[in-house]
Amino acid sequence: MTHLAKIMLYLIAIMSITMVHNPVLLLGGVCGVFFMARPNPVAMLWRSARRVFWIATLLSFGYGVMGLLTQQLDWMFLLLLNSRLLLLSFLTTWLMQVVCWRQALMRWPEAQRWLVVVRTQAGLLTQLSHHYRDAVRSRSAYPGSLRKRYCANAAMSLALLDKSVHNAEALTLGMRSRGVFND
Amino acid sequence: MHIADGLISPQTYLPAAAVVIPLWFIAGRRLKHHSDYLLPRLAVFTALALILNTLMLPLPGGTTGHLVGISILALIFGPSTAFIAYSLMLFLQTLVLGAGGITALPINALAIGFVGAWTTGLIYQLGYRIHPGFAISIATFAAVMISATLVALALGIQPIIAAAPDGTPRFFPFGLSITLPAILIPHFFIALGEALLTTIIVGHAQRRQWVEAYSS
Repeated sequence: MTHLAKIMLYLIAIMSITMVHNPVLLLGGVCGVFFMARPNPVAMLWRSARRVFWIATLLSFGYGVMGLLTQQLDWMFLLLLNSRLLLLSFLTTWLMQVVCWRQALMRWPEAQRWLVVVRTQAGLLTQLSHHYRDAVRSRSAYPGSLRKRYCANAAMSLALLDKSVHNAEALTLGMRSRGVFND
Repeated sequence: MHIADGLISPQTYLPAAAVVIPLWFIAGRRLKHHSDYLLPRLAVFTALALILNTLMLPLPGGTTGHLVGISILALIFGPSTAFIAYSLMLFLQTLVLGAGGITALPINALAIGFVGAWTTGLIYQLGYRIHPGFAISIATFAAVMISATLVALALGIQPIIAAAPDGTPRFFPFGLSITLPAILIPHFFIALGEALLTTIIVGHAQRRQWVEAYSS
């Protein structure tokens, strides 16, 4: 099956899930994905559950409290909401495991290279900000005032932005010299 | 600010998809003309928006509170490019970080990407002759608040349009009386912070001559 076909199947699956309102069926779907997902379904399920944990907890808690106060608590709705959130998250995690986006976007080269450059830049920016945070921590015996920290962060962030733009320009120059933009 | 997967009914996301797909197509065609030389900067600012969006806090209204970055994109690249860049960012965030979602993507892209970008652009154009810095702040503040209102409305109407025959909700359970204050009050403070951040970053971009839109 091609990667594009897998994405299409995923889209059909998630639309179908939002049209199912039976929690038992949705939990059955979670079990079905669990048995089909490879190589490590337990890790994938755990990652999916972690992704929706906060939003599901907050909504369930809010609904639970309001339901108890108004005496209109519907446990089946809570099960429906949480099973749907988990199944959608699990399917997305599985999709990320089985789809190669570079191959899926083969017919759209602009989208392909934009995705590559943005993902690279997001990784670089995160790495640079972690380095900066570690550098500040290692050089300070005690934390500075909030104002000082904000000013330093602002100055450093703009320097990081300059560096990132420079890196991205160098990267695209390299891509251009290798004929990436020739199509 | 964006909505998570599974909270929006097909009655909402299918019409939103029907609106947003042609808009993506139009914005994508406009971007195609100058994508090569814009790519490095656009990638960096899309990545910056992605990072701003990842520092999020779940809010009781069924969404999250975080900086948005749409106004930075809109003021540097113009609303049309900002819309498509922000949509890509939402897509990446869904797949890589599991925040947002594919079914919620059309609503998120419309409410934050499209409306946010065009609100920023229009208000900035109206105000920049008076004071450019002030116009950036006001445009950003308005964009965040209007987008947050749309997100709150999209969530708050779910119990009305997508309930079971006995009135039990099927998707998002809270009505407008909860979503509007739960989302708008935190976003008032987020919008103030975002206005300050956007003013600093766009000012820096203007000094570096990175600004493609409104450079006159």
